[in-house]
Amino acid sequence: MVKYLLASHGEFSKGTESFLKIMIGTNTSLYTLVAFLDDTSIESLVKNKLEEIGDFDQLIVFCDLYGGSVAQEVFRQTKLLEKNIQIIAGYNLALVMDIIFKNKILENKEIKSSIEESKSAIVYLNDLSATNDSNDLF
Amino acid sequence: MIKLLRIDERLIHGQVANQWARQLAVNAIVVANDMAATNELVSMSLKMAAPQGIKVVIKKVSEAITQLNDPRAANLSIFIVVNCPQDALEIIKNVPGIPYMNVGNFGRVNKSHMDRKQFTESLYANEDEVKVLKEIMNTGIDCEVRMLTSDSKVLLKSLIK
Repeated sequence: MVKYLLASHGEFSKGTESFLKIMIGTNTSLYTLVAFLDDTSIESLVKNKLEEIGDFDQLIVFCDLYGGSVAQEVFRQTKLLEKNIQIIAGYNLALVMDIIFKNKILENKEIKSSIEESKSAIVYLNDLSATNDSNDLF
Repeated sequence: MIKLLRIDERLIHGQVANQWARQLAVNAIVVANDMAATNELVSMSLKMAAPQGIKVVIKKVSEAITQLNDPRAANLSIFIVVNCPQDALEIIKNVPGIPYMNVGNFGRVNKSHMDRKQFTESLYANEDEVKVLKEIMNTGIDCEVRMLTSDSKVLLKSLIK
């Protein structure tokens, strides 16, 4: 089965889980990792979380920030494992929703295309104007 | 082909656009609402919610009925959204081939000063609205109540008799 891990500095990942529950319902194969709220080291948080997650056919990890220590540590502990683990850093809600909604093992290229698509979900609304698209079905 | 008619007082939003539209694999969403169709800011904000690859049109109820009855509609896979039972009834009476109605989200806003009674977590209705819901059920269409496709299905007839 596919499992998902949301990993963040503080409770961004918990907030994302709460968002997902509203948007697409509860997903039992979703895990969260909240780092730096106490003295526990990020190394042991990641190690323990991977043990808790256990077996999977694919694990997709969403880290909050590219370059952040959460993403760094997940990368260090999983890169050399001979398992299907996909790591994404700098996630947004559109991306997480898109991937979790698919709810299946994804090829590398599918992950990349979801990432590209989610970038266009960050929009400067002040520049939004009425589209010239027709308002007709046909 | 029409896949579903939904009552949702917020019309299109995250849940509708992402969950329902994707689950039903539609390629068009028709919002039938007189206010939204005549207010450009409301129209723009609703179209913002449209997922990639899904056409969203926002029409007055009467115009939506005309378009839904166009023979070319048979080639599309359509999801209709209205924000109240009255508009749903109008569409059901005038558009054949709607397989079922989903009540997603209705009556929670202003429930107290509209004298609305609670039926589920997401359905509140007053006497007049219940009458319209009964009229809808009397047309013979199947009606279910649930917010998300992952929620369990509750039949409207089990709540309103």
